Amino acid sequence: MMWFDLALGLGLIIAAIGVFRSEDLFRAVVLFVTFGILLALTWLRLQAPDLALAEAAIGAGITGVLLLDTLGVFRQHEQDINPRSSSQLPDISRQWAANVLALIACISAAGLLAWSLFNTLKMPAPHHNLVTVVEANIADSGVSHGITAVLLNFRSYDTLLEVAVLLVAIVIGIGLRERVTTSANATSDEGQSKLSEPPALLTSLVRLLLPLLLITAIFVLWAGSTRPGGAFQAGALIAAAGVLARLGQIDIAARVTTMLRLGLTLGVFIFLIVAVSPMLTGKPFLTYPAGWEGTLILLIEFMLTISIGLILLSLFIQAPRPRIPAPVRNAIPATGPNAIPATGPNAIPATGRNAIPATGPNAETNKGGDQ
Amino acid sequence: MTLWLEAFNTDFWYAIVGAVLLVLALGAFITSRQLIKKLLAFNIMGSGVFLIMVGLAQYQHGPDSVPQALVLTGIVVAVAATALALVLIRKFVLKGGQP
Repeated sequence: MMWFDLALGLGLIIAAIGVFRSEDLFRAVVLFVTFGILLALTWLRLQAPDLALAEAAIGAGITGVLLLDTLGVFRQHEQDINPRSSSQLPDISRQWAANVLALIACISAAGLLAWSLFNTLKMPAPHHNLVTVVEANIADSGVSHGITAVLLNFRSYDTLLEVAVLLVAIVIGIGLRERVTTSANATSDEGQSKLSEPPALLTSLVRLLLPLLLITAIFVLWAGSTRPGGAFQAGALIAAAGVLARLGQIDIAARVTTMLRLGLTLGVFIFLIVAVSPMLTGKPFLTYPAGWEGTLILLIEFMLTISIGLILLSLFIQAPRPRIPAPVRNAIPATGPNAIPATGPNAIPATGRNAIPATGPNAETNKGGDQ
Repeated sequence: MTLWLEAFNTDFWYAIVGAVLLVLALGAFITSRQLIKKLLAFNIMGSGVFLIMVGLAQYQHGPDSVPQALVLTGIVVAVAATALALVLIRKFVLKGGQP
């Protein structure tokens, strides 16, 4: 298998070089997704199936969708605004400085890495290593899969902070979006729902895939305590399901603003409660009561799955989009119902409701507009 | 040279690949002018670090769940950071910046 490893490693390097060298952004992104898939294979070769699952779902899947969606937004933006303002020529001296800096940084990083890798080879194998420590303690951890034990018991502090980082990311994401909404007179909200009609194949495929993806996510979550799997992979699957649903115009997340925020914080909230409650009885932070480890870990993982899925999904959905120019948005000319809208139906968060001609539903929509 | 050959195995090979990726991506990160490509280079740099972490930790005593769990955390944080960076880049472009 050594040849396979050689080829895979070289493939990783070549895909990365392809990403760096391609001038076209679309090409770069596609090569980056290829890189992610090769990396997932690499994790399998390194006997890390959990990482392979996560990389395939997150690294290649969700990151790829986000990047492609961004490129689509750029293209739409270019068409909307104007023929592109002449791209300013790069400052040649600055480019030179960057090249020299890059060369110096690369040479020093390469030297440092080569030196440390070479020295690692010369070191004897340590007597005391983490593998044996994990093996010795796994019986007390409440789960039988090493990585889940490390993530949610031995090093649960890291995981708690990680979920907090995710929460910070989505809070910033939502914050930026809402500022766009207010400064743009709430029109950008509607632009979101006005994607073009999805192809019929996609819609029916999404209907088939959604339940399958959800079942797989629950299985991966459940499997996490004994086998490769767990909250992160399951959360990524849920996010993928949400993104697919969104592409097929089944807009789940945009309908439930309050519940969505609850779901985003649920993971951190439950985790913190479980972490802090032992302190009431005088035990240290983050100790599980004896005998309850397995149950509590499963509870935390379940909540984390919901939160991680929703956070990744919301980072996709809440990303800023260009406003659709007015004539396209309101197909009906501005005489009848459209004279009202400055406050009325336009303030509704992006759902399909705007499809109803704006005569009757105004009374109903005003309460939606407050959120 | 014999030292290299006898200690050389799959895990160590991927650690070397990770080091190469890290160096290449560092250069691309500094020199590329498009923000999206900077972001891609940054992601690949992170992947290089992950490969070094897992490869080096495992090459003497087989699969090790501690670095693997750390890298799992890292992958998830990396995607959140990427998504956030994309939100910022999009906002920048929609306000009239160059992508």
